[in-house]
Amino acid sequence: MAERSGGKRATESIARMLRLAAYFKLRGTRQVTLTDICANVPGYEANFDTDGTLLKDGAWEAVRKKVRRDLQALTDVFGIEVEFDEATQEYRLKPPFLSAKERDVLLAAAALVRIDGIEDTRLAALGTAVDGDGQRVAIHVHRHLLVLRSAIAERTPVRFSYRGTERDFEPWAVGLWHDRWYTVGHDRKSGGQRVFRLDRIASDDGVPAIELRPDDGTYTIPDRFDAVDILTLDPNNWGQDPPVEAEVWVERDWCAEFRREFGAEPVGDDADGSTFVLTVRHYESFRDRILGFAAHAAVRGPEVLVAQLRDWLAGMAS
Amino acid sequence: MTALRTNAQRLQVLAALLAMADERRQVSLMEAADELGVSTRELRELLDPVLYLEWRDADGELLGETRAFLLTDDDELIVSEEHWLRGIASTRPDPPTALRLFVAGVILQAATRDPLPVLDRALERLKEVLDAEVVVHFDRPQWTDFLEEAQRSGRTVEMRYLSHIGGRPHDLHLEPHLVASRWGNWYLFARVLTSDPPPTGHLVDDERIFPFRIDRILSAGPGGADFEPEAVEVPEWWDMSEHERKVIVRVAPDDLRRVPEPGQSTVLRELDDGRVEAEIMVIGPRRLEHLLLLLGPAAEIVWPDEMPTLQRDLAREVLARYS
Repeated sequence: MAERSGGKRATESIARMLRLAAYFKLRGTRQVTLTDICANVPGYEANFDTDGTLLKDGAWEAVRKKVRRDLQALTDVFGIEVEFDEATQEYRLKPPFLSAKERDVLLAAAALVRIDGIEDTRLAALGTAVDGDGQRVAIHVHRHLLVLRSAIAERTPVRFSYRGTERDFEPWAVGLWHDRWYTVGHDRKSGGQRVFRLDRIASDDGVPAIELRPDDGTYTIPDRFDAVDILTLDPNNWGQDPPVEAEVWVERDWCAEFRREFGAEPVGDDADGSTFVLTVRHYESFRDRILGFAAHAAVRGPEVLVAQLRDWLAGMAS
Repeated sequence: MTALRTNAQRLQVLAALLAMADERRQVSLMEAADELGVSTRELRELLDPVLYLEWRDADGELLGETRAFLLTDDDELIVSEEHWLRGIASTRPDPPTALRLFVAGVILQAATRDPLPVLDRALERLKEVLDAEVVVHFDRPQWTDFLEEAQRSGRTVEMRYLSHIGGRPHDLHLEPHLVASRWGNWYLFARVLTSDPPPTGHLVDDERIFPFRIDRILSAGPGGADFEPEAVEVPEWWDMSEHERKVIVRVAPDDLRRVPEPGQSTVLRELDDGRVEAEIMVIGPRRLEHLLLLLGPAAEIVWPDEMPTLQRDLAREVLARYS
């Protein structure tokens, strides 16, 4: 019996909080006073004098605390925030972070895409309750991403170990390229811009793989930095060899793969295949990738690229 | 099953229940109770104030939010209007939630043919929370729309496909049952009706359903037959061990970085001359050929015995293109 009455009290508390939230919703962004609440929302009883003014007695103090407590619970659980202006003693509902349509479209995204690697701590966080059966895309978010995001937001340098070398690094951006996560920024030791693959950052048990270093100063991200461009991680984008225009003939059935591999478009067709022209800035990686096409592709020029391939192959053919 | 002891616990369970109804269009109380670890009786009690939220204000006017949620006779909770509590939420999502929604939103953006200004606005809002540039390159290959439409309408497909395992084109007649993306690639899961040559991939189940990477489709068109689309589950991984090819080589340590992905290398021992002896594993004959050509003249292939000859013959064949 005691449990049932306790449950009833609990239900009444929830009903009171929901009425309070609904009342603020009805008032929109207009100011609300404690008097308004006590007069119009059941569960916030106080004493009024004959002309309708709220009496500042013990009940007033109790109801003021109850409103504050309930508003805090609504913030914590539902993200509903009400500002209180000390000067005017008025409450006002803050405008929503997302419109209904914005929320709906993000829910549609969450229903399509399963994000692995991020633990949501809030039980009712947006998009955590979608039906997983419809998620046709799965993406893994690397666990280092959150600490790097925090570092970028606060412009805090980080330290990590990469291929056996300790790096003091100023991250500028993070990005996904061909199912791998990377960070780009300024490497303090080498003094230059660097890109690091997150799954190659060393990690020891019990030691954070990426250490935030707030005592190592702050930094700025260059205005002209183009993260989208830099994080398009084709070696042709960042190669340091003198740029040359490569002409490559590709067998018909291999053209789609060539287009995908090099992002190039054909400039001419013949009966058996197509000719592509692309700018090459990294000769060695170009050779390695062309070899993936074996005899289904042939570099026609310039001579610097043809000779490189010919020498490489001749060494194995003899 | 845990009993709800505090108001905070009750409110959190209520919020989670309403979120389920909001995000799944409807949810059964039994399913929700199971997921939330509470009883259906407790959920009904929590829902009471939501379903019957109605009162009169000081002027006698009836106020409330009674139409937002509906509990059917079958105990199905439905959001009949907007989830009004979420509608007035102003708290910014925390960074993990914002990051999750942002990545999902960018992928939806890439998967949508027409621009969605409301999605663009939502992503801008999330960017404010992240306060860091997060770049998500996510392509949607040619043929994806066509295959999705064929799957929806239950029409078979004919296509020419370049197998990444064998490195040979196949002409196939298929029933497309699912289009989905995993590990950064889009796949078609299809029942193979005919294939010339026979498919070299791996079965998803025993019903001749194979995965095909959509970006490896060379051409596709209607197959001219109808079929009944079936529910196909995307496996979390598939067994490629049948196609593994292993080579043991002696190379400079840096040369191991050039192993074509998703190949793997394991150093077996360090040699006195600064080189290492390593075992390299790749998937399928095509990647094996690529590996042999990548290794170059300085690499010493020690196992299997036939590999040096294969490497030499391959090099000669490709070199013939340059003579």
